[in-house]
Amino acid sequence: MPTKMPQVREYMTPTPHTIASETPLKEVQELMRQNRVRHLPVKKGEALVGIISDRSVKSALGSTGENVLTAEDIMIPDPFSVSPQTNLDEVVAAMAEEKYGCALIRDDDGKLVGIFTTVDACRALRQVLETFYPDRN
Amino acid sequence: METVNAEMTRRVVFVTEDDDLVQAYDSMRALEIQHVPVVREGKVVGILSDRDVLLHAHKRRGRIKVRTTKVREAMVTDVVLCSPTTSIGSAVDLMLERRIHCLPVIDKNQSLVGIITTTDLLRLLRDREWRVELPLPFQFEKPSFLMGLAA
Repeated sequence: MPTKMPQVREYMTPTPHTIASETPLKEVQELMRQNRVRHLPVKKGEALVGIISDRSVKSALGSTGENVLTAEDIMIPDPFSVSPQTNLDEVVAAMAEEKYGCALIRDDDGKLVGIFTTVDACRALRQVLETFYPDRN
Repeated sequence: METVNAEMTRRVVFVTEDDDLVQAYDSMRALEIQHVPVVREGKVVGILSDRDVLLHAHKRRGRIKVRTTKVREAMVTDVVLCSPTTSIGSAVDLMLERRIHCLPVIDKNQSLVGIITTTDLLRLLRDREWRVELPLPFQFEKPSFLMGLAA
């Protein structure tokens, strides 16, 4: 039976929440809490410019002058990105090796079309386990 | 189905409640780990994540300064545990349901014997020969004149 490796687009979260680069950190924190996410891609206008994690927000909120900090101040520029057609094993390999919390999924024009996080990876693993072990208890 | 025993990390770094939070965080950074079980007399009593530590820290001149306190002030005591015989599927379910990224593994004596994290699950997903079966590009159709004959 012919087989293929799944592509990351099958397991990504499509059209993820994003934030504007000038968003104040307190607002970033609230957006993460409301949407129950730990990563937010950062946009400047229409351009994707970085990624921000809840870890960065937590550590920055305790700093002096945190009231003036914005997403752009603490984001990671040039985040790990792949195309939707990238094989799932390549994406998770990079995430495991580099301890990335997520991968941004961008189409050929560089437009953000999805995000793949460790939670999505757990869901992917769950699905393949069900495929290979359908009678598990 | 494979069990946690096959994928867990056996050499587990742990801390105690009375350890200094600064030293615990420095160790976590040095070892590049994000979660560490908190143990009392061999039994897991909490979990400390770098996220928990950051709630007790601030940034000064670009560097993270952790408050001088003990691990017990920062740890989470509501810990989800599993056993070595827990299936990987159940471990994944637990992590998804409870929105957590690690599970300390305890034996029947409640002693810490390992830890399994989302990084371990990423490696499992990477290393296995997972393949999705493709449907055949054509379908067989039995001719009507053969209907009723033994296969």
